[in-house]
Amino acid sequence: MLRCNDISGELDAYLDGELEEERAAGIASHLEDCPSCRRKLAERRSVALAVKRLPAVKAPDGFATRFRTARQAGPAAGNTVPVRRRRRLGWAIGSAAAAAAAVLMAAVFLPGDRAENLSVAGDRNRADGVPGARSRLPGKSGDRTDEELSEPQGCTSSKAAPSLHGGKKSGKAAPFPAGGKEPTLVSPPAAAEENVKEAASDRDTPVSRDSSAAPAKTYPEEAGSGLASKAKTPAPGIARKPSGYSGRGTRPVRGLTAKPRPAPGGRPVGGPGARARPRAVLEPRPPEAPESKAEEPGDAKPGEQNEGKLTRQRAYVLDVEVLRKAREPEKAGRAAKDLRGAKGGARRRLALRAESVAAVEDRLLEIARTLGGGRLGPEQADTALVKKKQRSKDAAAGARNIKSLSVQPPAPKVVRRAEKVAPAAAAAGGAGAAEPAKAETFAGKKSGRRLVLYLPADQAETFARALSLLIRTDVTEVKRFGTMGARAREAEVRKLVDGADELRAGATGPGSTAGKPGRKKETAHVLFVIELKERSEEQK
Amino acid sequence: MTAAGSRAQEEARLLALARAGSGEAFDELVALHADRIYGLLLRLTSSTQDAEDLAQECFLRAYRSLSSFRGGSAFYTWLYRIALNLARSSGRSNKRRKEVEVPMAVVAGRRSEGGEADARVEAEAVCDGPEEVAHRQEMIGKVQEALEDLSHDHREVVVLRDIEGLDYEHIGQLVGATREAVKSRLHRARGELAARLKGMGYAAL
Repeated sequence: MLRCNDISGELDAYLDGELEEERAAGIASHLEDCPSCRRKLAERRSVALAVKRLPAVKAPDGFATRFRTARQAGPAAGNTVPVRRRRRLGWAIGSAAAAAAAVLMAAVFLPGDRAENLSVAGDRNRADGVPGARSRLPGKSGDRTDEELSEPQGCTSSKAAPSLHGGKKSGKAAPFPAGGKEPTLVSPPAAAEENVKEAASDRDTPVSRDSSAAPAKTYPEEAGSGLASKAKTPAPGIARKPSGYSGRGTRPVRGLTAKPRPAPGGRPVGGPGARARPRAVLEPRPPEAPESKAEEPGDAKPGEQNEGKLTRQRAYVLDVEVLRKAREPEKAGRAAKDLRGAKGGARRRLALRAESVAAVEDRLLEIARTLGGGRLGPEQADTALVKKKQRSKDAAAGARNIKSLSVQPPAPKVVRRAEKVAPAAAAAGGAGAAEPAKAETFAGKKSGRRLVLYLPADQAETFARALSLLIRTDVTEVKRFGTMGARAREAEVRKLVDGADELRAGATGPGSTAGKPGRKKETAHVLFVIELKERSEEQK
Repeated sequence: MTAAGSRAQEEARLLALARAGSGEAFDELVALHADRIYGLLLRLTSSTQDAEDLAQECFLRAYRSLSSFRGGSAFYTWLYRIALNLARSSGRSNKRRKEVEVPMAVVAGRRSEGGEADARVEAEAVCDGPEEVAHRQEMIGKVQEALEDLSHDHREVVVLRDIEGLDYEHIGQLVGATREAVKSRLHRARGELAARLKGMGYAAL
């Protein structure tokens, strides 16, 4: 005869039907004679039932669509692009220098509390050697990336309503596969399989949910999607890199005047010894992206042959979602970990393709906007650069230390033009600056396109890191980038942006004081000057 | 053919297509399992935002690693494992949150595969007046709160057993514990739950 103590630890297993028959029978016999144990069992049953009765949860609306967007920005199934292990020295220097510059500038010119925050961020980065170049962080104990992806063996489906009564272990039903058996892979129709194999990775085509049509579905949208024919900007002679392209052979950034400099903490930044490993993840391309199809990445399978018709190349970009999270304090830690290419983040390293100058420009702008910044029009930018250049003369010693990081000032000719045009442009509300065509000329060179972005100072470091990780493409050359001007107050930037709504930071940026009259504190901005240029045939 | 059998066949077909490279097929698989994975993660994280983030990440990981799925287990089991590891590594379940709200509309329906109990809950909800529904809402809130108070390990086994309906063996494989350990963990977890619910004045106890 079992005693109460013998069975108290097994009441739940009895309730769940997880005991052997003999043991279950013994407990049942005991329960007949023991009102106390019966009460305990009833309590357990009540608890289990209460949990079971929690309302069903449905995935939020648009979940599948958002997933599809994210998926389409990445490589095909099981075709994870190998992580780029090494980065050229130029980039390592560039990223370190840009990030250091942003941090230093902010530290010098920002109000005390904000500068302190940024300094902390800088310290953290210095501890890693090169900002954005950390190769691996110690993962948490739960970061079992490899392990989690290996399936548990012998698991059979057993999702059934808990009986909540003593029952046999083997009596559990499975919703699917039927009878608790594992699913048998049903070979798709031959044609479907063929089509799928030929298909480009993923097209943004809605899938019918009509289950009646499902068995014969062959996803015709995917079949022979004719990627090559969709490319409208042929670049003969550009050989595509194989899918395992490691990113070596990156051209050094031209015009970047930065030299390897010791970080403020005294440790050398960059250099051959730096384990530069860029963080690159997919960037969900918003459907409303203004670029034309020909410039839109994400259509070609990695490793697909170019055949002389595509200009799809590799570029590494930051995940806009990650950056978005970086603005939310509670998620900042996780985002920072992702940015540094931690263990989990490494798996999100994906290649994007098809970068033209316009596409890269668009991406940079998108990232800037995500971080609460925006773009200055070309005319306004010229004016801003002149102002900032003048201001830099009066800047503190800290600003002079980063002088070598600043871009070269615009050619005198352009500056003069800007000075003349600026009042008119301001009178016109900056409408002329919105013309992308105007941005294509810079310092008399038609092939280049300069982008001047403003970022809230507290996001400057993140953006600098994004920049350093962003571009590596054989189509576009980042001729130079750097920060210009130490600090632009919100009011100043507001005058310069194309339209009032452009200045998102003023409305939503962290630390913003917009809409808070009576407070003099303003959001400080850092201007980033980036010049993009098509690579010449010789360079390619 | 039963509905479950038909669904299994459909899933197997989609899986084969997805493994052959069809993203669209995988999207359909996501549609099949989205509620399940999201629901699991919501119970584990108690945050709708975190649950959605992690569910997206879960499916993305699965998609990218589809070639490593050998078919030795059910597809959803594989997804569960990824989801559980994500929830664990994110550490998002440690902090109690109050973000999960129970919309009145869903009180009426428990899981679609739940059998008689679900039908009973649904019938009760339909017959009950506003006061009863409000009372039930309150009780559900208490259960959720008590669940959120559990440690991650305990919450994990309770959710997998009582909400997802998995057996001990299966739970053990998912959480990396022996069957005996699951049994013991579940016993302690339900004991804690009972104590907390009693403390909250849960009516059914």
